[in-house]
Parts: sequence; structure tokens; C-alpha cells
Amino acid sequence: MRRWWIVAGLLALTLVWFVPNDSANAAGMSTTQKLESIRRYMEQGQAKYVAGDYGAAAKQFEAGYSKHPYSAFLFNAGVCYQKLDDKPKALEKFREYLKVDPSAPDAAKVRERIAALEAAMGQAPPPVSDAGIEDGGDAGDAGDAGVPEAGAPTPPTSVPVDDQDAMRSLVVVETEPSGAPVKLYARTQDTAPEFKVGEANPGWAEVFSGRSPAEVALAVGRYHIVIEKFRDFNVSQTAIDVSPGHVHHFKANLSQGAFMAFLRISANVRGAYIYLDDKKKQKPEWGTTPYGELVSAGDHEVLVEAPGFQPLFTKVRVNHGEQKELEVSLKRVDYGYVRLDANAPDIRVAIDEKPVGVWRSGEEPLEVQVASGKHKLTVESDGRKTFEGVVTIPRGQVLPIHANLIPKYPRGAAWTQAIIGAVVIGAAIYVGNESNKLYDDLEADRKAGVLEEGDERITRGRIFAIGADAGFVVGGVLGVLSVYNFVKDPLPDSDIKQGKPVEFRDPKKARPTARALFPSRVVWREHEKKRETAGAGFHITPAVSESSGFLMIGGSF
Amino acid sequence: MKHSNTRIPQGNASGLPSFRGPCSGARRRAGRLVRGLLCLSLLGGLGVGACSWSRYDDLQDNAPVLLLKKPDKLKDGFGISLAFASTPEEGSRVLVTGAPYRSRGAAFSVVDNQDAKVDAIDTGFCDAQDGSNLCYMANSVAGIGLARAPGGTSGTILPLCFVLGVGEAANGSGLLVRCQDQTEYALGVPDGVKNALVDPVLQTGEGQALYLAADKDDQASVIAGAPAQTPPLAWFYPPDSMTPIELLPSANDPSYGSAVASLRVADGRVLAVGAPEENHVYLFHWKTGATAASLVGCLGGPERFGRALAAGRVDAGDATDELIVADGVNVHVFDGSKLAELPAVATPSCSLASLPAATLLTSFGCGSDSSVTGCDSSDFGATLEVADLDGDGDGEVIVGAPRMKVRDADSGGAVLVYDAEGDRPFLLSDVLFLSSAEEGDRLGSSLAIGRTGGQEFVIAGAPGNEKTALMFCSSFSSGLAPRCD
Repeated sequence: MRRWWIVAGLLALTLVWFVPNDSANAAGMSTTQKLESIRRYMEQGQAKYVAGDYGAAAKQFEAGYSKHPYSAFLFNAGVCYQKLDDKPKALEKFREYLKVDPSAPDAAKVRERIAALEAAMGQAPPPVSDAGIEDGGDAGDAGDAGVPEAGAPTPPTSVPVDDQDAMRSLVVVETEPSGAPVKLYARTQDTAPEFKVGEANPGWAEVFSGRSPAEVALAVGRYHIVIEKFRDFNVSQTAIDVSPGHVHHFKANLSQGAFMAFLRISANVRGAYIYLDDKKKQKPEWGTTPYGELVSAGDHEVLVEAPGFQPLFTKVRVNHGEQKELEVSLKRVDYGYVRLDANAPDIRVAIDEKPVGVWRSGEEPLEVQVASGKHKLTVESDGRKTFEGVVTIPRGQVLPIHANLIPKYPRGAAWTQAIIGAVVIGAAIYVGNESNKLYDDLEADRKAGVLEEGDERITRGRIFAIGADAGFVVGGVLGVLSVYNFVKDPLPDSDIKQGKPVEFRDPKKARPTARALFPSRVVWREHEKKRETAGAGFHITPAVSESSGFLMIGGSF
Repeated sequence: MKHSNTRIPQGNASGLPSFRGPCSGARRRAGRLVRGLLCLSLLGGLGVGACSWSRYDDLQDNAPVLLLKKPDKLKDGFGISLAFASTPEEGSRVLVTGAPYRSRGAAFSVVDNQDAKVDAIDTGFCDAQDGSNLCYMANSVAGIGLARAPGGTSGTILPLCFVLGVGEAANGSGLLVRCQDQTEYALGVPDGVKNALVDPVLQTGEGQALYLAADKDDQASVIAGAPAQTPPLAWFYPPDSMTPIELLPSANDPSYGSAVASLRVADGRVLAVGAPEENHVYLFHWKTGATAASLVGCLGGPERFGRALAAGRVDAGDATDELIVADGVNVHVFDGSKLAELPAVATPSCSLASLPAATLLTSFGCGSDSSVTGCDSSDFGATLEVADLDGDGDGEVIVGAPRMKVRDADSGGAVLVYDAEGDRPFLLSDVLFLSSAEEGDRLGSSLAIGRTGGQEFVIAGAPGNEKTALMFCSSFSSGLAPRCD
């Protein structure tokens, strides 16, 4: 059985009939850009109209028409001139309106307006071709709101007094695939029940029939869009309330089979992952902030998370056709990472006196999770000066640190001098002691009267004494030299260079090869679980630009 | 007499002698430790002096013992015999001889104990091999401060002479004398000696035992003993005389003349001639001006009694010398004044019984003082001398023990000094030895007493290793001489 989906998009602003061939200025624009441009002209003109600046509003509409030749601009410009009591210009615009869009739903009403204006000006009504103008019935209390009227053109009446609802809006209807038969029905009676396809639908009148894509200028009112059965696609339908001076964009994906709302989620963190109705993250993320997409109307669970931030979970309700903007604020986690490497072949790292890891040259930098705040960092490496200092770990960020460990100043000479000096002093002590012992013996012999002149011990003792003194001098010099060489250190102390804190590494964006070779040590806990891959044939197509102010609904199956 | 601490041989666990100085071992060790620490403090600039070598200069310059340097010309046995001669005007000389009948002798000058020279100043004693007067050195030699040259009483007085042995000179053959001015002359000998000793020696060069001794006067008498001739004979030269006086024993003792001594007594000399094989010492009395000496007695004693004799004033009570006699074990001191009173006898009884009372002043041996060890086989009493080392007017008995073990050196030899005075008849005062005692030194094989500046000192030969030591100081001579501070 074949399933089908529908995606529909609605964007506000003035109704303009679809013109197949855009002007040269609009050439090259994407649909989105074009609609945005139309919207801008339409909304600015409408705003000036509401503000009573009819001249500027007329200019804005004319400028819009010059760039996007939709008839709605002409009608709205005519209304503005009419407000300015510039009947010739108003007539010109209304006549051009009918000329451009002779099958407009409100063509009869426009003819009445033209007749009234002509009458007011004392002019005979110009001939109206059958092809260009069709009679329109009374639109009821909608005035000349564009609701078609049955029968012949009405004779000229008084010129209608326009209010802000007089502005026409542009309704753009697209289907996927295109070429589907499109019909628009206007509610002619306020008491009419909701339109139902295939029924009589009293109080409703068909105001447009064509094929998608269709762009129709419509007056304010309630309408019903029906995408009739097309090929093997089923009927789709939706009701819209057309507001003055807006652009309504309706897009139907004939395979969607459901009407959607538009939900756009933004956050203070760009690129945060959004999980919609997937609290357990069993499916790929819905999108990354800011992100908007058509969603089914109703309640939704939203989980937003980003590396380095605490996950945020909230619920949101969107109504059918509603453009919901949800802005969330993520708070950073209360820990960070130190990402450390060094110029040494291998280093030992301790934070707050506790060893946290070893890094070796050629490996990825050592990354250690640390509570945010100030910590004592100790970096050691054999043969190099130890670095000790305080670093401040940012919340939810990685602090890159490159340790520049300065080699220890060679102490070989100092040790050699110290050892030799100690040996020499030791020998001097021994020899000196021997000299003293000899002297004592000799002195004792001398006092006993038995010491000989020329006793070899005298010579030996003298040599020992000289040797001892020389040893002390040499040893002392060596000792002083060794102390100097132990103290001497012309090399600077080891230091670190702290880089600008960076965001946590996003494992979803890590290169597969890199991950295979060097598994990241930063573990974004919430993303450790593997995501389920999307099913075959399913994809999400971004359908709206970040700055888009209009609603788009889309989807596929 | 002053007495101070005495260095004496001490026994040790092995029975060998050892020596202990005046300071205790702990005190010495403490001193060494202090000095060691001082040395260690050199780095602080304090200890250089603690190991100064200059202190040895004082030891070298003021060593109390001088070893005389053997001249190259002397053959073996340097130090076998010693003699000392001095005059107030001419100074002092020491004659050191080598092996009798084989080697020559050398004289050394001893002006005073500060200027003593260790190099010989005259090596022409018994220099026959060099073509001078024929001479063969005696077993022991004698020194004469002032000797009368040939010519009777009109002969020239020659200073610093030594009676060397058998030889011939310009005036004939006999006992050759050589003086400071290198004058040599011969003392006449009895005919029996000339025929039996002198002529054969001069003709064949084969020596016979000949022992010479002199008293301690400047113009000394000389006594000689020739035990090897038949019959053994001793003779005597009165002071200032070249004419011998025979000393004939009462019996035919074959070893007669093996030791001789001349005692100065009031009316002349008492002459002692030892016959140690017979344990006799014959006594003769020569009165000044007489042409003969009378036999006055024969001392008899223990085995080898009379093997060494010496004369000197041990007792300051009179002006006569005492006779010192050694036997195989002990040393005996006889009162010279008593001996001088002995009447002449034709055939005296060789014993001590006939002596007047108190003639034997004292007897002592090496072991008489318990502090002395190593006396066994020490040959205690091999040589004897009397010297006033402490300058108190009477003399101390100096005894050679050349076989004594010293500082673990067998036969290193030692010289023991005894104060034989009055109430301390055999008080051991000192033991002298060489600080560089070597095995076989045999210090004490020969003894002589030197004298400079009124201070007497010991001269001891150690012929085993050809050493001769001038031992200027003893334990009680501190301050008496510059070297004895």
C-alpha cells in the first residue's frame, strides 16, 4: 500500500495572482528569496497604508509590481490612489489590474469600483471585453473583497470607502509534484459551515481553479484550498484565513497526508542538537539550532543539547498552520576540559597535586575533565623544569594549553665538581688527619727526646699537611664551583601558553578517520550513545532560511 | 734532680713492647678530632692553619736527636764504636768508627747542640788504604781532649785527639792517635803487645781484639785491653804520657782485657780490667807520677760479670768516679773512693766479699723497674756510660740494651737512663730510642757521652743499620737545651 504525505506551507502577506513570468529583476531569485522580496514590498506598503501615508504606500506597491508583477500590487496601489482621491491614477491601476488578471475572483467588484470612479469623474464607462471582465456577485458584507458575484456587471455605484482590510493578499499554492488541480473556495456567508470536499457546501463559492503552482490575489476572508485528486494522489485540503496585505504560501506535498505546523527552534548556542519527540534520542537529531520545520500540530517534546551545555528539555504546543518560534537558553555545564600538549617528548600532568595523565609526543593532546574554576596545574617531564601554576578552567569549554617545558640546565659539571670536590676534601681530611697523627707522634717523640732530625715521618707529615691543605683548597674551590653551577641557571622557567577556550569537541562532527586513529578523549556524555541511523528513503529537507519570516511546510516520503 | 714523665717500653697483649706517650689516647683523639674539624672548616677560612706544614719545620729544626750521616768512605759497621773529645777552647768532636780492622772512622763536629753537623768533617781516621799511616781500628776507641804530642813534656799539646787502634806513625808503631789537626802519632805499647799484637796486625792485617777507653778529663788517661793475645794483657797511659804501664792480672784469665775503664780518683786513677768469661774485674791503682800500677783487687760476680765497664761520677758526694760493671743481667755501681782505698795485693780473691762496706753502691737490672718490658734478650748492659744529663752535678748511669725490641722492631735497641743517686739507687729515668727504630738497629751497641755548653748528652751507635744518634734531650732535660723545650 502506498502511503502518502502532505506538507503545506503558509506565509502571510498580500494576495497576488500568480504571474508565470517574473520580471527581469526577479529573475535568478530562488522561490524563497522571491517570496521574501514580495513579502517585504507587500508588508511595507500595507504598513504605510495603515499609517495613512497613502502616497508612499502607492509607491511601494508600484515598486513591488515593477519587480514582481503580481496583480495584487496594482489593486492595492489603486486603492491608495483612490484614498488620495487621485481617481485617474486609481482608475489606471484598477484597469491595469483587470488587464493583467482578467479572471481575478474579484474582477466584477473591480469593475464596479471602476464604474463608480468613472461616474464620479463624469466619464462614460469604457467598454469591457468579455474575456477580460466577468461579473461578480455580491460579496455580501465583504464589499469589494473580491468574492465573486453572479450575473451581469452591476451598474456604477458610489465609490466604496476602503479600510485597511481593502488590501489584497497574495496566496501562493504549490504542490509536490506540481501540476495538481487547485481550487480555491471563498466563504461567502459568515454562517456557512466548514467546507467539505464533495458536498454542496452552501455559503461557499469557487474563486479560483487552476493547476499548481498558482498565485492568487485574494481579498480578506476565509478560504478553502482543495488539491483535487491528481494522478494517484489523494485529495488534500486546508482552510486559510487571508489577512490584508500579506503573502500566504501554501505548499502541499501530496504524499504527506497530514497538515503540519511550522516550528522553529533557536537557542543561545548555534548548532545545538534538537531532538523532537525523541527524549531518549533514539533517532537522529531533528535539527540543529536555529532550525525550523513543519511539524504536526499538537504537543511536542523538545530536547536541546550541545556539547558543553546542560541538556534542556521542554514541551511546546503548536497549532495547525501556526508558525511557532521557540527560543531556549542553554546553560553551560559546571566543568571544562584541559587540553594539554607540550614541547617535551612526554609529560606527566597533575591537577591539584593529583596525577591525571601522561601525554607523549605524537599523540592527541591530553584532555582532562576538570571542575570549572581555578586549579593548580603541574606539568613534569624528565630532564625539564617542572611547571607549576594556576589555571582557570572555563565552564563547558576546553582550555587549550601548550606547555613549554624548558630543559633543565645541565648539572653534570656541578655534580662532577661536587663529587670530585668531596673526594678531594675527603682525601684531604684523611691526609690531614694522618698528618695530625704523625705530628702528634713526632711531637711526643720530640718531647721524649727521641725524635730524629730527618725522621722520615717529618717529611711524610709535611707532605700530608701540604696535600691536605691543597686538597682543602682544591676541594673548596670545586665545592664553590659546584655550588655556583648548581645555582646557576641561565635558562628561563617553564611556562604555558593558554589558548582561547574552545567548545567541546562534537563527536558527531569528528572525522571518522581521526576518531579511528585517535579516539577522542573528550566524551560528551550525552552523546556517547550511538544514534540510530535514518531509515532508507527518509530525509529532512531544510525548507526555510534562518531569516525567513514566512511559513513553509514541507516534507517528503 | 728533676723528674718528669718518662717514656718507657710498655708490654702489650702479644708481649711485645709498645710505647705510650705522656698524653692519653683519648686526649690525642680529641685533639685530632678538633684538628680534623678545623681542617674541615677551611672553607670558612678558619682551618688552613690547622693543617699547616710549617709546624713540621720546627720539628725538623729542633729535633732532639741527630743522626750522623755516614760518610761514603766508611765501610760497614758505622757506629760500632764511639768516642768523644772536647776542650773548652776547641769545641767537641765525635769519632764514629766502623767495623774494627776493616773500616775507618769519621769525626763530626759538635759545637753545640744547635749547630751540630751531621756531615763528617774528617774521615781520615785509619785511612790506610789511601796510602797514609797504616792503621787498624780497634773494637772500641777513646777520645782525648788534649793530648801531648811526641816529645816528652815539651811536646805540643794537641786538641781533640782520638786513640784509634793499631797503627804506625812517624814516631813508630803502636796505638795510633789522630788529632784535630790531622797529626798522627803512635803511643808506645808494651813489648809483649808489640810482639803479639801490633806487629802481627801491621804485618798481616789480621786484627785482634783491642779495647780502648779514656777517662773524662781533658787530658785523659787511656787504658787498653788486648784479650786475644797470649797472655791477655792490659796497659795504661797516664795523662799526658805516651809510655804504657802494664796491668798484669793475678791469674791467667783468657778474657782479660775484654773491658777496660779508668776511674779518676783523688790520687790518680783506679783502673778496671774485665775478664767476663771468668766473671772477674781486676782493679789496679795508679798514683799520679808513678811508673807502675798496683793490683788492688779482683771483683767477682755473676755470669759475664765485667763484660762492660764504665767510669763516671755517679755520686756527687766526692770527686772520684764510680765504677760501673755489667754482668749478663744487671749493672752494678761501685764507689770509686772506696776502691781507691783498697790496698795492693798480690793475689786478690776475686769476689765482692773482700770489699769494704758500701763499696757496692747499687745493682739494678732491666727488669728492676716493672714499667720496662722487653728486657728478655735485650742484651741489657752491653754498653755502659755515666753522664750528668740533668745537669745536677752527679751522673746518671746510661745502659745500652741493643737487642731490646722497640716499637715492634726486634733488636731496635734502646738506651736506658738510670738515676743511681742516694735514695733512688736505680730509678729508671728515661728510655731513649730512635723514633725511626728499625729492626736490627741495635741502638746502644756503643755509647759515648758528649758535652757542649756544660750540658752532657748521649751519643749512641746503632751499627745494625749504620746509624749514630746524638740524643740531646731526655725527659728530664726539658729546657736545658734549645732542642729540649
